[in-house]
Amino acid sequence: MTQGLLSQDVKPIKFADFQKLILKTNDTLYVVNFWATWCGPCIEELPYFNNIADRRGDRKIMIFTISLDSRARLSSVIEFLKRKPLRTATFLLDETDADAFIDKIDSRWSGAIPATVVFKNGKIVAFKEEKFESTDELESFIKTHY
Amino acid sequence: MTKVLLLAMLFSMAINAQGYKVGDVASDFSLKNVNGKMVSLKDYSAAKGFIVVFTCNHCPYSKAYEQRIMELDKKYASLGYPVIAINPNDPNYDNDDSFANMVKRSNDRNYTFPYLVDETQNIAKTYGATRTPHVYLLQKSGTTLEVAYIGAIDDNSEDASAAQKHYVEDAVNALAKGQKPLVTSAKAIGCTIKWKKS
Repeated sequence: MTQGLLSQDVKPIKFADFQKLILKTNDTLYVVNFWATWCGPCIEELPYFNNIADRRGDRKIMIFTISLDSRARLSSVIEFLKRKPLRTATFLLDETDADAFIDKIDSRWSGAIPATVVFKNGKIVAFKEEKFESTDELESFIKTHY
Repeated sequence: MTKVLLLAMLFSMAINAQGYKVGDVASDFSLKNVNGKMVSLKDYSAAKGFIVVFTCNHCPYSKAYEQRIMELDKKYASLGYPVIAINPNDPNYDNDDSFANMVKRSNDRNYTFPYLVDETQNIAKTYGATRTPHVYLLQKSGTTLEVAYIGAIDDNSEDASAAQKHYVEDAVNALAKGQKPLVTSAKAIGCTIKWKKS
């Protein structure tokens, strides 16, 4: 299944538009990771999301890596992705008021990143506000819901 | 017996994991300041409350808010609400957060408030802090400290002058007038607290 967007083409997206991409009624699992170029643990775990994208086979899994870098840092995000390409759908969340969107993702999310949320049929089925230690750990986090 | 102990342990862990909610009574602490002296909230007999900020050296969001934290102390310490900064991070993750570097940062930037190290991370766990920066505004009521606001400093991490909502300032202003803050919590993006690996 195509991810539809190369990470090098990272585009700013408003929260409402982003919600439309992940809150869908179908048999696809939407894995959403929130990261930023300034976040050390986030960068450490990004390769695991690439690995999941590579090994998803015919499973209907969409992986979104959403940068929470500020809009002003878009060029830095593009530069970063040239050095460390992502094979996931990558956007930059173009919002400044985090309080307005954090709870709309999950009320358990304090706002700390990295954070990863899995949506199915428009509902959250898994949430983690911490770094994954391996691709296998991320795989089992997703697998139980697929 | 073992089962009871285990249950008790799990129960206390669950409480820790949850942390404080607005309205809860906050516990005092005794933590080492950058000048080597221990600091407790009870030392501040004249204070009406405290702006407790879990923050650190390395986190870009903490850096982005550093000036604003310094200004909060300058503005509100004289009104009875001093800033108490606490670094809860395991310095093994990033040496920027080591005690020596905390001392350096505090001196370089002329912090007017204590910058304490939460070496055991127990205070961050008790309060329920999860990210840096993470504010707990406390109001003194007799001998107890009540949590009046939890969360973000304002709604624009990048640009203080563009912030529309000044959560902490509004909450302290309300408390100083003897009122309850209108907004008692707000979230922000931040760095995870770097917990020690067990």
